Amino acid sequence: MSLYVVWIATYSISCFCIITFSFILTLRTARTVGAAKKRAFISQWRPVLTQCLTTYPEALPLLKRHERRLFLHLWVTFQESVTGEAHARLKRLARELDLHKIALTYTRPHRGDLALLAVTALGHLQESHAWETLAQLLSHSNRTLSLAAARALVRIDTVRGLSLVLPFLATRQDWSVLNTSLVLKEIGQSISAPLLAQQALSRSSDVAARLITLIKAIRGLSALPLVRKLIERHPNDVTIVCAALDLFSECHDPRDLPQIRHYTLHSNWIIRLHAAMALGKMGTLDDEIRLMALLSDSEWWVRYRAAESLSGLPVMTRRRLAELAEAVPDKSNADLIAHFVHHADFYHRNARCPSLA
Amino acid sequence: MIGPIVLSAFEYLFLLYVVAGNLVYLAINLVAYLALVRSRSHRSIDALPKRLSGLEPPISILAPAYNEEATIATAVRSLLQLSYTGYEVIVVNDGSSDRTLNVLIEEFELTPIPDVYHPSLPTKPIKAVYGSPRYPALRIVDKENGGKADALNAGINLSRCPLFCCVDADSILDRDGLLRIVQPFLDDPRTVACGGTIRIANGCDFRGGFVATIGLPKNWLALIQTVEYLRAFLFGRMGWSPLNAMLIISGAFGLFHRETVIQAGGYRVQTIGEDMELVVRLHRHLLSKRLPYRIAYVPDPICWTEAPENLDALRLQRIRWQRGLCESLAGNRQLLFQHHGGAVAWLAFPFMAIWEWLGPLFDFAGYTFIFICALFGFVSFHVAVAFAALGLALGVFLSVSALLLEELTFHAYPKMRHVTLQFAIAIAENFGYRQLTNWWRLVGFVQWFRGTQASWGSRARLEAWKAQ
Repeated sequence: MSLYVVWIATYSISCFCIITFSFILTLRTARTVGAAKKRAFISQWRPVLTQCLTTYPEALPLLKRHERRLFLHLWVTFQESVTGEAHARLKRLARELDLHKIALTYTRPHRGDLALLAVTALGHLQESHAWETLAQLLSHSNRTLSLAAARALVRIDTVRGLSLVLPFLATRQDWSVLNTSLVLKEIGQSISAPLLAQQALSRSSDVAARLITLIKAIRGLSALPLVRKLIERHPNDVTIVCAALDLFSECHDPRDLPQIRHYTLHSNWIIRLHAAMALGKMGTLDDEIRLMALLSDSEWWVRYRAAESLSGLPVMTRRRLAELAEAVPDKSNADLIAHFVHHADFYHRNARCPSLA
Repeated sequence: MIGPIVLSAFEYLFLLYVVAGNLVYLAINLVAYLALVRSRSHRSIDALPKRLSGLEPPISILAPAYNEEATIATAVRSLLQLSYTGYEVIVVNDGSSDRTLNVLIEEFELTPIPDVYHPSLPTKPIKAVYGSPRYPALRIVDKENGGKADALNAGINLSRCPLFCCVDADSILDRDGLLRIVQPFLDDPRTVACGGTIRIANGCDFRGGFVATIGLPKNWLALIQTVEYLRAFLFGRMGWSPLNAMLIISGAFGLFHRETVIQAGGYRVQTIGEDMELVVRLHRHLLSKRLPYRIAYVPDPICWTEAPENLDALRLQRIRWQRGLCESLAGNRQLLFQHHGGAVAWLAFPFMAIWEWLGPLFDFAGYTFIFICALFGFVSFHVAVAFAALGLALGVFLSVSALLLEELTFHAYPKMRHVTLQFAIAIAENFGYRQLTNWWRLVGFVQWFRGTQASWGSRARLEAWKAQ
């Protein structure tokens, strides 16, 4: 009996392998045929879209039903690659071919890749009829799709879109800072940064730090007053203070220098590290003494970044650095400065090692 | 009376072991399929033109090198051309006895530079650090020989970025490999490590330090390994990754959060499978601290590596891998059924222990038992053939599943001939090759059990790589 079962299992699995292989071959054949069709499509439509970059084409080829997906992809690729007036011509072309209607039929999440392209296209086309559909997608579990919907919404109507998207910026931890910053850049820092800072004021420290990081990503100068207020409220919250120090160093507002200098004396070494790095980016020659003091810090990374910041101070010369290295009593700390003296000579200040982010 | 009952019990036990193992593989296959489909659901958007945002975290690429004079210059030049905003390349020459260091000095016009670093991890002494004015992102560390793990620890000490990427000095990354492998770190701040896919470079054409044309190797041993690698990565890694239970990130290409690795103690010098051991220990360390974390796998960033083309090199590699696996699991056995351990402690670790760690032993015992029983007439010849046929069919099935996953997702090997050839390989590898690698795994197991001394090992490089 058991032998019988073993043979049946063996035959079944073997048959399944053959069926699977046949399926693989079918897939490959279909893909080969599809690739040939795609080549033909591209050779017909790429010149049309390329012409759109300079002038609007006089006559358009017929867009066949089975070519819609390919066209959507090609059109979005062009839209994402160009700037200026070409955008308007590409939009006119898409509307003439009813791409806005086609894209609307593809927005259901189960369509995966196609839904993403459709949502992106609707944003570029500023299709107001898609508003409700896109707003619903904001809360979808697929982070790529929900972010694409957010981007489309702010493209269609910046102010309305921002009011919808803003609460999600704080709550959706799965939206990466990098991709979210793309949405915020669409809006512009002058509008989005103060709103983000306002949100940060009423959120937990982790969320607030994330929002400050977003402000930094879009270089949100207009948010600085609110961030200063936030740091006053939470002067010892490591995540908030570090994020704020990074933002200050990105924005280069001299009014933040006293705060940064103050944090070089903080009891937490991570805060001292960020303060040292911020001084390196926006400190003055007056900060030499503070950075020299940090060279005696108990943490190696604070000492290292202090030495790096010293070398990066404005009007800091090789000679002055060498003098400072000699003045340092501890040899290992003198070596830190010597390292950057050599580094500056060696690489002629063309490239600095990537800093600890 | 008792004899036949014992025999029958063994028979069923062996059958149960084979069937259960394959059922688990099948389940992993299914999870991998779902995860791959999900990961591919935004491929069109990923393919859209992108500008580097400058928000990508800086990465230190660590390339330990031991007697790599033939390929090191090409590999480093390729690493220096990756598409990424902020990264540095640190090549650690681990006391090579050939001209590895001289080749690097000549090729990149290196001179010694004073360098400072914080020795967070203990390593063998560093003799010198070299830099190149022409390539500011490149540093070469020359140190006393201490093994690959020691070289990587030295690289970690010298790295100045929050993430480090370990690569083998004989491997070639895809140009946008770093951009893709960093994605989980951007998407989820809990990510502490991420692995990418390794594929066989033999048979591919290289231009300018990158893969120009993908092809299958002509050498039959390397050809078989292309199917093996698909199996290992497309469903081995992809299946466990959604459960956050991946126990291996290949040493040839992995991205790690530097501070977390330092807190876990860095690479363990005493082991030969330092890559797997680190990942298993990271799980154990972070679970014991009750810290939220994620160890991810991204299938698209691809690293091309040279596969052994002769039996001797393959034997050494497989013995080394098995020993590494044994050391990794035995050294972190506390992870097994760890309280609050989740899928890694309750599924992945037991699975690896039974089917990968002790697998060669069970396989050998099972086949020997059936053979002896058939020889002495305790089991009929038909029974032995039936069991062998079932094992064969299951083996082919797993390989064909991997081919299906590949076809549904990346279909990297472009020609119809490639697909057919790989299917033929999926069948042929079960006649001799798989038994041979199982035997080497058993040897690795025995060597681990006896505590035989292990080393880096070396192998002759292919002419094609030297000629690049």
